[in-house]
Amino acid sequence: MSETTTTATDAAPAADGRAILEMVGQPAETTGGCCGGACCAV
Amino acid sequence: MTGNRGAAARVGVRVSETIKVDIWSDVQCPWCYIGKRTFEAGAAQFGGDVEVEYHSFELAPDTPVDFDGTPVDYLSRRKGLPAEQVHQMLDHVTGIAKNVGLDYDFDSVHQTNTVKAHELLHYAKAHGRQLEMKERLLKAYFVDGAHVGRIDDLADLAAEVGFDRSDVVRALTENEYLADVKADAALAAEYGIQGVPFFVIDGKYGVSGAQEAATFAQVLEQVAAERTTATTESQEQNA
Repeated sequence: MSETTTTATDAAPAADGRAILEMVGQPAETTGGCCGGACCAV
Repeated sequence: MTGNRGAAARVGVRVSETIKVDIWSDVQCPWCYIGKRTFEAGAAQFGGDVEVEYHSFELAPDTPVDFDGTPVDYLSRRKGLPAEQVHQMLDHVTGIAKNVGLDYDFDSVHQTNTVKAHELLHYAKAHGRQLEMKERLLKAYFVDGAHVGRIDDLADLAAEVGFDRSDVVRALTENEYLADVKADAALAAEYGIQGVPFFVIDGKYGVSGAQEAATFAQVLEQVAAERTTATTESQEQNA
């Protein structure tokens, strides 16, 4: 794997400013993750 | 990226094979370290070129740098759960971490504010060594029991990675990269990201949580296959 030195703003998702992502993989509710200051799932 | 891909298609040349993956994560998120390992395993299974950029996500920006208490205290208050239940949660995540080769030690963790750690990650990115710094910070927090909220402690960790300690102290003291941390948060909000780890693959696919390595490998393979198809179609149109 390589890494980038670009800034966060370079990763703007779409020309019209709207972020459109197609979610893939298992539903977020069933995987380990953290939100709002704490572990929120699994 | 998108613009480059379009330009390449128009002139019929081979598109870049490198797949960009943007990852939102917090240093104090146990699932983020686990997800880092499963993603790395998935990328290895995929075998192609992957470019990773980490982005800041502050899970608890209101936490004081010197939080007075343990992670169990913190989570009990934050989630309103009895300490015993939080212990069980941490035991569970410690077991999952063990399965991916990480030896979490929550008894030694210093709960803290991570904004300076995020600034350091942007400093490291600007100097081309973000992945190394990210790994060091996660290990420091979850495995080594180091403090990742104070400038002096962060500068020590940065020096271990090879950075000029005094320059790191200067950058963190002057909040040189604070705007970049906030820009990442704004971009996360734009994407609708509410939890971490969160992976944006090729600016198109979203993967939430510490998923299985196979899931990451499949998404990367799908992106690679889509690029091959797009390139073939472009070449046929130009023939």
